[in-house]
Amino acid sequence: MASNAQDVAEFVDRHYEAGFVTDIESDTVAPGLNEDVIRLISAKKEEPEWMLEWRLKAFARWKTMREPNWAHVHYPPIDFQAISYYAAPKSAKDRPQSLDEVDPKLLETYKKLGIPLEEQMMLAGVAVDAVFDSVSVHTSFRGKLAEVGVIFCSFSEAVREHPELVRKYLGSVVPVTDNYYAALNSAVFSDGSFVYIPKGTRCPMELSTYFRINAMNTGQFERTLVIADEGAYVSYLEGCTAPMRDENQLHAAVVELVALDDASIKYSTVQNWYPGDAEGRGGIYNFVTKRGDCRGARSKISWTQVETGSAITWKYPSCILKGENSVGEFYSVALTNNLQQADTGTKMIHLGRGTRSTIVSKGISAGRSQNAYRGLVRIAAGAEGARNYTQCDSLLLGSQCGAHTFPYIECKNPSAVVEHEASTSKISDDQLFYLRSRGIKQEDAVNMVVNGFCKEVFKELPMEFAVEAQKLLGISLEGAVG
Amino acid sequence: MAALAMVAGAALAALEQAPDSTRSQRLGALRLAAAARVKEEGLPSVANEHWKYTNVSRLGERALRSATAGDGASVSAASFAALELSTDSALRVVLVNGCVRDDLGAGGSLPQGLRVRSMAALQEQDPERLATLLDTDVEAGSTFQALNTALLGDGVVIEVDHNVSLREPLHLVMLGTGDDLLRSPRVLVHMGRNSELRLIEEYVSLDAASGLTNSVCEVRLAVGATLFHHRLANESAASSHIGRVAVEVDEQGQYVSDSLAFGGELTRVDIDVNLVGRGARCRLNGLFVADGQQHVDHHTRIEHRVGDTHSAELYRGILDGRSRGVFNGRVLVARDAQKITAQQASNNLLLSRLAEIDTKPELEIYADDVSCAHGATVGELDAAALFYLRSRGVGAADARALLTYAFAQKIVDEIPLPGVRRWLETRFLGHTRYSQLLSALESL
Repeated sequence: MASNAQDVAEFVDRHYEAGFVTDIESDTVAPGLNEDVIRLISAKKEEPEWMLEWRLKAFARWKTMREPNWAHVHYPPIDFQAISYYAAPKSAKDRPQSLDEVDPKLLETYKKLGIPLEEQMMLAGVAVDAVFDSVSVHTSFRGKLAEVGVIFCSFSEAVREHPELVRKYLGSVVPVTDNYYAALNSAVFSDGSFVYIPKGTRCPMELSTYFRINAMNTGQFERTLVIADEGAYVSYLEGCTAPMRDENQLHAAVVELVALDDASIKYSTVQNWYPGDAEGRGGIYNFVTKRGDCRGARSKISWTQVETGSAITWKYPSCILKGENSVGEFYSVALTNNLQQADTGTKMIHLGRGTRSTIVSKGISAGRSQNAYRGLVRIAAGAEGARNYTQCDSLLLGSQCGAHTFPYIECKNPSAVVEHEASTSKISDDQLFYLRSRGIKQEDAVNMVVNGFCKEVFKELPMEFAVEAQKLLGISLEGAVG
Repeated sequence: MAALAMVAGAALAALEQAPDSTRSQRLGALRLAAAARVKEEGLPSVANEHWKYTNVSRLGERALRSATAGDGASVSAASFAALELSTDSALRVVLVNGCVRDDLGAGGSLPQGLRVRSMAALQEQDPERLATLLDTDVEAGSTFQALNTALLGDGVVIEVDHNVSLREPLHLVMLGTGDDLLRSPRVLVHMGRNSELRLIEEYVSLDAASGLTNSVCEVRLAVGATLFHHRLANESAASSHIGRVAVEVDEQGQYVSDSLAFGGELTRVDIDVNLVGRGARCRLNGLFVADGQQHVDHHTRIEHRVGDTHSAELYRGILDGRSRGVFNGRVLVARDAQKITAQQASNNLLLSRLAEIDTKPELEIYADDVSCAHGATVGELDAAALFYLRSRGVGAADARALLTYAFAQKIVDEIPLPGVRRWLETRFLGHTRYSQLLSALESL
């Protein structure tokens, strides 16, 4: 155990690999939140009147709401007036026409992250809509996507160019009144991505957005809207990483997915925001509302997430299974270390007949972290023959961490079958011993066991992401042996 | 909540006006504090996470009167002779509307090492002792417990001496009678070192009694003690039942409980077990059967405060009609409480289109060397099993009845109470020809 303790110490001392600050002048609004700030954000984005009205309505509602406190997380109160609600890189004013025109520092940032755009453009057919702070600075493969009629652009652009689609779907899955952070996001959202896949179209490539939070003291309020029209298919990738800093940063994104008849959306996330240092200083507060609406018959929405970052994660990617025989899936790996806190899970709301959902959640707690799964499976009276299978397993690495499970099952239909299984245990000594006896180093053995533990989820990730996720987990677990 | 709060308010006022009505300062202060809590907090609302699925507001609005020894004075041994109780145990203590009736008990003198006293008598004779035995934490439990404490009248105090192992079960018969009464029995069980007891706590109604039974049972198990606790809530359709069982288990102690809920309009049972000594273990089983508009809610909470403690839990629910069942099982493992095992399962059978089940098995774990698991299932009768029976010539209704009975049997098999088995047989197999067949098979 002595060597384990040493390993843990080494692990704790390890610094955040993606932690650095790129020094770019930011066009930042002074901290504080009032109607003027919202008008300013709207004006800067050259938004139409209806968009501003929508924001103001959300703001009015937000003022009447209270911060939720039911999650199994603890943090000092957030001063919403101390946050700056808008930041845009200066160079955004003259949009770069090619990579040469892109701010070299930006490019350097991506290189440090190991995701050079030029390589990405050539590789794997992945189109990247890179969000650096709040404004999209670079979008690629637009032409190729336009050929098949796929719209993939920044949210501000969509508001200007496709107002009919935005107006029809915005807030239809996550209404402005949904929850405190969704209302805040609706009022002040900066930018994000918009995707529309037309009828019967299979998106020819995986769409990907990389987020970064970069300017000091600015909240990041992404808004993502993905619409898959009848018979369409899209796989959307989202990955995040953030530079090191001391003050907590608030991130309250909203993601809305709409799947019409026979449409299918696969949404994958790798989240590696700055988790704070070993003493829990700094780190991102990640209060996200993600929800998919299986509106059409036989539609399918699948969420896959690998959550290793953030000081606090508060996130429940959910599916509303409205369409007959629609399918919802949730695959999650959540890893917490040091003083990280995660309260994450999903909601599967079965409304339509023959709806099916699968939940596979793997939680790994190390250090002094707290990791909670919170899920709801609701079978409405009309959900004839609905089916749910839930499996949530927790792995404990270290005696100071916590692993919690709060599954809610509400069933109003006798023909539904709901199954829930959960287990919590520490990493198996037998398995470690077996691997060690075959000459495998302790650390590699732990890695193998943990990777095996997460395999069910990793196999759901697109290839590039699966590789990144395994690497991330490997780094995050160095020496953290219980 | 108005009416119940008024009951508590009246108790508070009475206590304030006549502080000498209880001779113990401590007891008086405790009851005052409890009444103040009820008055301040009112009854729990659905906004309270622990009461999310059970709305007690209607209960609070009813004009209930706190029962006294005078209510049900006319009850005689003959009046409940016809009641089918779970067992014919020789050691029987009968409470009518929460008040002990010595004249109705049976069994003559108690075995050596067992003391069973009326709480009213103890309040009179030795209030200080009672204050020591009672849980003095006013904040414990919900406001229903505080209401019970504020109205503290009668109940039973059971003490088992060290190294005494009792063969004969002790049967508490909690009879309800009369309309719109608030019955507040309290049961205290103190088990000495290495003692053993089987306790049956049975709530039944004598007639179409209505009102609310709000009971609290406190159990303390010393080192090596074992308690088998069978709790049956089987009151009339017009009655509601709120019960809380708080248990503390010391080193090597064992608490084994069955909580059965069959009757009543609204039933809510909270079982709260603290495993405080190494080697302590508990097993909680439960079965609820509901039909019509019945609402049955079970909340259990097992806290593993130290290492090397073990728990197992199995709850099954059968819901028909428009009934609603709730199960919330919470397992907590404290920091550094290592070498823990905790198993939990909640299985639920929905027999009707309008029935509903809300189940929430929770784990909250702050230690790493643990092996905890929980499972929950909801569904209807297995189509393949039904088909099998039907293919052997069993009618559809009979096949359903047999499978439903079999679902309950897993719990019932572990309960040595013939009355419970009979009740379930009548309930599920009464209309089939298998009832006699099963009895015949059993007698072989």
